[in-house]
Amino acid sequence: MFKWLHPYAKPEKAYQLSLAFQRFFMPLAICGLIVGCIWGLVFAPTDYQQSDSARIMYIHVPAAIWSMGVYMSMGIAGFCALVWQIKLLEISVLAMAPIGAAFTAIALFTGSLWGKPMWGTWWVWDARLTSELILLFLYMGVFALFQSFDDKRTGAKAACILAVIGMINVPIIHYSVEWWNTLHQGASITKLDKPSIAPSMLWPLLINIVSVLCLFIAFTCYRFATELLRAESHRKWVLEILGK
Amino acid sequence: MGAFESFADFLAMNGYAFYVWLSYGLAFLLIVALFLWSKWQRKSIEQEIVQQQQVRNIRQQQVNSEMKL
Repeated sequence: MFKWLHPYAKPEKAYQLSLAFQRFFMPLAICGLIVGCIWGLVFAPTDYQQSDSARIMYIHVPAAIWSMGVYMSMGIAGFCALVWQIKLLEISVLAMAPIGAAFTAIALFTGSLWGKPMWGTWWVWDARLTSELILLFLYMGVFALFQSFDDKRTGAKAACILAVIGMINVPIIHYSVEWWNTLHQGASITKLDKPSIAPSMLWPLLINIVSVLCLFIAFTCYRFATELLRAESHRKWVLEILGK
Repeated sequence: MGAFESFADFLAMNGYAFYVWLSYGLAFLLIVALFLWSKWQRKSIEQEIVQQQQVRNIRQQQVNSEMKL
C-alpha cells in the first residue's frame, strides 16, 4: 500500500489527486444534502413530542457529529505532521480548521434555535454546550496560530501542537451528556446498541450525515490545493499549472 | 405533501417556522460563505503567483540585456 501511496507524497501529485477528489465529492455532497434536507423537511413524520421543531435535527446532528469528526482528523493529521515532519499534512491541518469551525458554528446556533422552543432558553452553561463552544475556540486558535508567526513553519508547528492537545476535548464533548447532568439529550444513534430513533427519521438523517462528510472531504481537498499552491508558489510545477 | 396538509402548513412548521427556517437558512449561508471565501482565496493566490512570475521574467530580461551590453 505504501508503494502505491508514495508518489502522492510529491506535491504536484497530491495537488492533482486532491482536485480530482474535490470534483468527485462536491456533486455527491450537494445532491445528498438536497435529498436529505427535502426528505427531512417534507417527508419525515412530525415528531410526536417536539412537533416540527425536531426537523432542525437533520442539520444539527450531522454538523455536530462532523464538528468532532473534523477535529479528530485534523488532530491526527497534526500529530503525524509533527512526528514525521510532513509538510503536506501541516497544510491539510490549515485547510481543515475553517471547515470544522463552520460546522461547529452551525451545530451551536441550530442547537440554540432548537433549544429556545424546547428548553425555553437559547443557551445554558452546561457541559455539552460549553465543551462544544470550546471546540469552536480551538478551531479558531489553530487557524490563528498559522498566521501569527513570521516564520510559516514555526506557526504550522504551533498550530499542529494545539490541534493535537485539543483532541482531549472531543471525548469530553461526546461523553458530556453521560458524565454530567445536562439539558442536552443523550446519544440516539452514535451508540453501540440499536439506534433509538424511528427508521423514517433515521434515513434522512443518515443521508445528511454522509453528505456532510462528503462536503467536508470536498472542501478540504479544494482548500488543501489552494494552500499547496501558496506554500509551493516558487516551484516549477506551480508555474507550469498556472502559466500554461 | 409529505407530512403536511398544504404548502402553507409546510411553511408554518406548526408554529416553529422561525426556528426551523432560520436554522436552515443560516446553515446554508455559512456553507456558501465558506465556499465563496475558499474560491476567493484560490483566485487571489493564483493572481499573486502569476504576478510574481511576471516580475521575475522582467528582471530576467533586464539581466539578459545588461549582459549583452
